[in-house]
This record gives sequence, C-alpha cells and structure tokens, in this order.
Amino acid sequence: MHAAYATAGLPPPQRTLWMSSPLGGAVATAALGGRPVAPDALARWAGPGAARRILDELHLQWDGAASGRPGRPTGPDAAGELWRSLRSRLRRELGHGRAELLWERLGAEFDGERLGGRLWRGFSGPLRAHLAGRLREPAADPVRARLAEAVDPWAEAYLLARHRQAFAAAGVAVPERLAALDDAVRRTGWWWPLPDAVVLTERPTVLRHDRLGAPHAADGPAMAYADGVEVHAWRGTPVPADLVEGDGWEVSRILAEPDADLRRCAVERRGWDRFAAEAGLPQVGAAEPDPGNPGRELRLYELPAGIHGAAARLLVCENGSPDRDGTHRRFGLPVPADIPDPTSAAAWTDGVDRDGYAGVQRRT
Amino acid sequence: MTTLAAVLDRPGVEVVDALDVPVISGAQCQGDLIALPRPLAAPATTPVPPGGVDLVPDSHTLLSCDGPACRFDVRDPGPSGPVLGVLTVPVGATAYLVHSEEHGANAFGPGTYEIRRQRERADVVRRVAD
Repeated sequence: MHAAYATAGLPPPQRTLWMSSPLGGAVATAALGGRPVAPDALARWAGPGAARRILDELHLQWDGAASGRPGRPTGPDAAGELWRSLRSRLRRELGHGRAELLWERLGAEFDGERLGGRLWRGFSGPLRAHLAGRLREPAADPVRARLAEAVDPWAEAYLLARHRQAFAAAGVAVPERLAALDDAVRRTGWWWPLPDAVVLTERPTVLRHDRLGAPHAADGPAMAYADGVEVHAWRGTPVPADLVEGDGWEVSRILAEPDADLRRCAVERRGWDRFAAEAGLPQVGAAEPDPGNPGRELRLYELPAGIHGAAARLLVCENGSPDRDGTHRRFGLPVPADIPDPTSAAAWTDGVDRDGYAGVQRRT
Repeated sequence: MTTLAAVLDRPGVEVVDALDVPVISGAQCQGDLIALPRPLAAPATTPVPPGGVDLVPDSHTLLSCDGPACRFDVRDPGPSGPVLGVLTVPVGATAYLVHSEEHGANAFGPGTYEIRRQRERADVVRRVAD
C-alpha cells in the first residue's frame, strides 16, 4: 500500500483502518471525513447486528478525530489520472496509431464478456445494486457517495490486466506505479486511498454463483462479509433474505409482490411446478407422454397475466435422469399463451415443431 | 475401441455413471439441449479436439470417440436463438454428450445433427440454463 502511494509521488498514509466489508469501509471513510453515521440509521440500512459490528470495528481503530485533510480520494489512482498517464506513456512508446490499435485489440479480450463484463455482472454490479437499495434515504448520502469513490478490485481488475497486457505486448517494462497498484489491489478488498489515511476492507467470506457467473444461492446469502453484511441473490437479482431461506415465499406473498422481477425469482425459487399446484393454475388439455422419457408426462397450465409479465402458459416436465437422491427433478417453463398442447409446448422450447419433438428417442 | 469409462477419465471431463449408453441416430435430448438429425445439412468441418467441446460451460460437453474425429461447427446463436451448432459423426466414429452432474450421457451414431438449446418465454426470450 505504501509502495502504491510512493510510486504516485504521495507521502505514505498516516492512518490505516481495516474494515470487514465495503459498507463498513464506506462508513469509516465518511467518519474520517467528518460525516459519522448515527447507529440507529446504520441499523436501518444494514440490520442491527451488522451495524453494531461495523461501529465496533471502527471505534476500536479510530478515536473520533476527523482526518486533517478529508474529502475525496486523491490517492494512488484517483479520478482516472493513473489510467490517463499510462495511456500517454503507451502512445509515447509506440506512436499514437499503433498504441490505439493495440488498445482496441486488447479491449475485445478484456472489456467484454471475458473479463470486464463478467466481473461487473457477477460481482460489483449486484453488490452496488444491493447497497444502493439499502442506502436510499437522504441521511445515507455521505455513505453512498463514499461507496462510489472506492477502489473496487472487481472493477479495477480488468483495467489493471488490460494495462499490464498492453505494456507486455508493446515490449515495454510495466511502470512501477502500475505494478504497485496491481500489488495493492491483489492484497485487499474494496479500499479508499485518502490524502493522509487509507481505509482497507477484507474480501467476502461467502461468494456463490450460478453456472452463468451471476451471484446466486438458493439457501442463504450469495455474498457475505465477516461483519454480517449479506447480499441474497437469485440468478443475479438481489432479493430479500426470506425469498431464498427456508421454503421461500408462499403463493399469497408472491402474488402480492409488486416487483415483477422479484415475483419471477420467488416463483423460480419455490419451483414452477409447485407454484402451479399451489396456485391452482387451470390445466390446459390432458397430460401427454414425454417422448424419449418413458413413464414421464408433460402438462400444460394457464399462467394468468401479471405473474410472468403478459399472459402465458406453463409447461411442467421432468428430467430424464434421476437426481442423486433417485427423484426426477420437475420444472416449469413459461411458453407463449397460444400454444395448444403440452407436446407442442415442449417442441416450442426446443425450437422444433410437434412432429420433430415427438420423434425424440432418448432423454437424459 | 474407446470405452466410455476412458472418455470420462480424460482430463477436464468430470462425470458420472458409465452405464450402457445406446448409440442413436435419431433425435435425443439431454436436459436443456436437443439434437435433431439433419441428413440434408452441410456437414460440420471443425474437428472436435481430444478434450472435447464445451457446448455449455461447466455442464454439457461433446466428445469424439473411435474412428476419425467427429466435427462440430459453432453457430453463433445470438442473444435468443436456440441453435448452438452442427455435429457431424463420420462412419466408424461415435460422439458422446456428457453432463457434469445432472443428466446421463447420450451417444450419437454416424450422421449430421443440429444441436439446439431450450428456450422459455420471458419478457425477452432467453435461453434456459439448467
């Protein structure tokens, strides 16, 4: 951390605070800047347990004196100044045209789905969305502002990697300042480089994702920190804890939810097939045998408008292979409202016609 | 002849019950994937590498066994399109589709197949991740 300051031409920070979570870090940074957070307000945003632990951590390390030079971070990578200077350096070494060409080519590797997009969708975006939802009231403004200024390693990682790769491809030694920042980011979670203090935070203690890389956990938090700050998420959407805990939301709670995204998450968590039964969805036609899946049936239900957006129908089917516990997993798939029968619905999900689907010889 | 057990021992291939897997030349499904025979389609040209092709990362993997290498051409499906690619199994070869945990394996005899991914109705139609 001191090397990151030194290579940026800054004196070392006089004070270092370690907090457990990004929210704790933002609270500490606001306090250092003369905007301490009231305990009862923090309890509203983070829950009473996490609020108490955050304030305990802060007061063990800090005597309450505001920092001599608070305000916006002006540390080692403040406000993009580092990135601008590194790009200038590349242009000096390679010439403007070649430097920009190299930069654009690396962009395809680092910016998009491979790294930058995945890190944002899977880590920074959902956590920031969750915290923004918790910090809506005006009293939270100082904390929300500090969160926006954090050095977020998930957001910085791709910039650091892209710059390092650019210097490597150009055959130019990685500048000390980039290497020092890279090293600092590898050793910490979110952090705040301030003029004469640095606030560091720990990495999460829980981090769970689905196969597409979105934060997701069906039975607890998808992200958690040692101070008790937790994010519950269903396939990338931050959700209330009780939506994924225990049995999830009951049908009446699901139908009363005004947010369509949360409603969908709650139905998926409970299971579309179970929801169809509990909600008493009207069945369309008779059950039909599932081709290639001996002994299993396809069923089609009406799905009234408002549950899944516009009116639709719901196909309920079963896996061909049993789970490890011997049961066949059942699941429901919303399909267009004009599909007439279960086999046609299954065919639609595969993008084939009814006859094409009826010819399936084996399902696993 | 390559046995399924040998296939499943390959590095990077995690699975499963090496039970009887019938070799089929008709349509078949594995979870959210469906393979449809397409005898009139242009055969695929890209050889399946020894480690296989991950049709869906961390779940469905396509492997080439016996005889000449099977071929698989990726078709860019776009954000909502269901076609993943075209598989061609040469005479003498077998292609296996294996799944990392949930589904049994499928085996394909000689022929050309279109492999599609299931979709569901959503505000924007999106492909299912099983």
